[in-house]
Amino acid sequence: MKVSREQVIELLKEGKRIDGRGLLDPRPIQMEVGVVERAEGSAIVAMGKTRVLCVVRGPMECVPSYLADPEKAVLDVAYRMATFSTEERKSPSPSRREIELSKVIREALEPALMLDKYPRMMIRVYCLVLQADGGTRTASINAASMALAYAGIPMRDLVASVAIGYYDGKILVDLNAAEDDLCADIPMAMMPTYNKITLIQADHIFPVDKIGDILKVGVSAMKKIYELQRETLKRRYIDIARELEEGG
Amino acid sequence: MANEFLLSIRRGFLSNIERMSILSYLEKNKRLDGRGLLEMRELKLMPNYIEKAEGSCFVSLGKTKIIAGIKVSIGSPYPDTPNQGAFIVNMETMPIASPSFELGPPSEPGIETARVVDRGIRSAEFIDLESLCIEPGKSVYLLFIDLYPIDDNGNLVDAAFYSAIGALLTAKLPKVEIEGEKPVLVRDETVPLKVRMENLPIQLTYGKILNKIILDPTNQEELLIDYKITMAIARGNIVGIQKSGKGAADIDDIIFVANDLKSRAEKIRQNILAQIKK
Amino acid sequence: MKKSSIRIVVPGEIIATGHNYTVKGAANMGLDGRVIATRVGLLKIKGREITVVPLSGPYIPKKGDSVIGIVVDFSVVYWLLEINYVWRARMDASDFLKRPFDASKERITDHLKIGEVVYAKVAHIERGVAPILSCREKGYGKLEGGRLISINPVKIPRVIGVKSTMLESIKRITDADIRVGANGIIWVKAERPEIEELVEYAIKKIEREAHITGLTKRIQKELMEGMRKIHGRE
Repeated sequence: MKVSREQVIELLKEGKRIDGRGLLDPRPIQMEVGVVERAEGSAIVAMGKTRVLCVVRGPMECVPSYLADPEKAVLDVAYRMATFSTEERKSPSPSRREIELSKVIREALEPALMLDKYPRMMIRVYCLVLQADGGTRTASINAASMALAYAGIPMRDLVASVAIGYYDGKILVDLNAAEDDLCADIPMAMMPTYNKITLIQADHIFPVDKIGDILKVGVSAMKKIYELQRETLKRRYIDIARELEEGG
Repeated sequence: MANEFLLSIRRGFLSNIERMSILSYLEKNKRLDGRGLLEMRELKLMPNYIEKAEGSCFVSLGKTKIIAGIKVSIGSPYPDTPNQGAFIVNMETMPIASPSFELGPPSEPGIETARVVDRGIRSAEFIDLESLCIEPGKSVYLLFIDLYPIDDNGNLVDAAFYSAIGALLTAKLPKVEIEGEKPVLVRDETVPLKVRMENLPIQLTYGKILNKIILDPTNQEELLIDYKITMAIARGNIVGIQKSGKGAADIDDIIFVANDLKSRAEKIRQNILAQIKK
Repeated sequence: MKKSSIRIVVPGEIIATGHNYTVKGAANMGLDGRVIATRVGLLKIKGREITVVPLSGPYIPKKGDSVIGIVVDFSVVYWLLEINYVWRARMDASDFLKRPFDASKERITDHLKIGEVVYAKVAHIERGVAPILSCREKGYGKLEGGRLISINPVKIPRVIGVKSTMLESIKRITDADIRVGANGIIWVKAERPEIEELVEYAIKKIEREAHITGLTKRIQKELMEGMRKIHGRE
């Protein structure tokens, strides 16, 4: 259902959102790991209608070889949108946006990875957006963290990510597409165990003195997503866990 | 984690011990996964997998998985068919389903698969192209059927075919309104895409190893196969054939495949329709 | 003394805080005294000893590892083998033949061809280059016949068992010839293909249930039953 900018604004005035959520409520999240058997790691994350599949391959030989780093592995991330993921068909060739987001996602994940364990190697992360409704980079980061952990790549921490919005004095958690058109869109990612931010971007406009509150709301939302990521990974080994509880 | 597949696919060929294992099973008319020579893996269709797309279907054929998505736009008809809409099948080969795929434009196998799938559907005249006409000679619906392999455990071409069929069977066209001079899509009002159910094509792929013909090969088997025959049938007629692989095919094998496919087509058709209705 | 406990941990999970812990496996002790897991794994705590056993991850060869390799290429005096590692391994002709190799008199492919399978030891490993394999020790060399089984390399220690108990049980009950590669590949050759299938079934079961106690006894039981059925069919 096409929603007009005016509808979003009207609802926001009353502190409501088009899908009935409260300002601080994220969309319903579904996560699963190990969905692609032929890959070392994989995960699917759905945040509301946004759905992203992430596949991790590696560690592998560094190709091209001149990119190899004698002290640590090279992380290569490709973010792509499926042609049917958007309202108008997206051309399969990578757009400037996809190239920028590939870099930004890579830099959101890199601080969490212990790449020095795999010198001269390469780890490839592919994020494919199956359906786009706002927050595709955040869903990609959430999926990539779990896929990397599932592949057994040593990590300091998982990385959790969410897009925070600001409009007319109101701070919103987890923007959908209609909302990120209107609001200041501030996607962020963090390593909760270290309380460090690995991604932050912003567009549109918002008052300087709101940045503290925006970060606070973001950190709280990301920590909740982090709990879901941990649960999703552990759930994959649920048979073992159950046996351990019963007998181990 | 299915290590055995990663290993043999990364290498691109089987060790002599793995090859002997597959061959010794074949001699007893069995396959490594317990199937008979002419047994298909389980085919599952999940239509409307991507709700924002005009049509979509997630298919699993055994462990091979693929998603088809349909996007609709308005364009000009081809000059020789002014009253018909158009469709094109494309397959992207992102390194998701297989380590042998590379980032970038579709590879040769991707393009071949897309064209084979396209051919069966087109020759069968399954889609009612006249119903896609908006203004004769001026504007028609264009259907883009895009295939994204998710997990390649062999026989992507058949999985791709059924995902396209599943997407077409459940596709919905947005209505058209004339705004100013131009027709524009009204996305929240839709009508089902018109297809000719009696022309529903059924496609299967067979492989030849030594003197045995197998149906629906896995990717380990694909490494041993001399050649593959993909064939599509609709309403008792052959609507597509593709021989692929380096080997040379026996005439008897081609005839065998045609007859075997004919004997299975109805059952597969019932299976597809039952799953779409759910 | 604290009771021993086992649970699953994920990267970033804080296991304990304090400086007098011994930390083994996939976990780090930070300067702030926090012990943090670095991979998805099984956490075992015994007193002040913390171990995280990873549940997944790539095979990284160590010197002395026994591996099963497949010949994928060759040059005048050496072969290249696939061993489920990032790079292919190299084996010099002399290290396989256990004698000097004279390239002017012999052809390397007379001894090992592409696609053949070898049980070898990792003689030398350095990060970022091809590992060096050798068959000089007794019991290593070309493998023929039988079948190959591929499992997650992190589960290989369980297939061998503490002091080799699991592996010896399987060999004893089935009378099969089994070579286990640290790289996740196992070779089995038995009198009959049904026995090889039985061993494959047992190994896949060990892979699935690696962390559940009493596994060795359960496997022994299933193998004995399986062997009875096979011989009963005669």
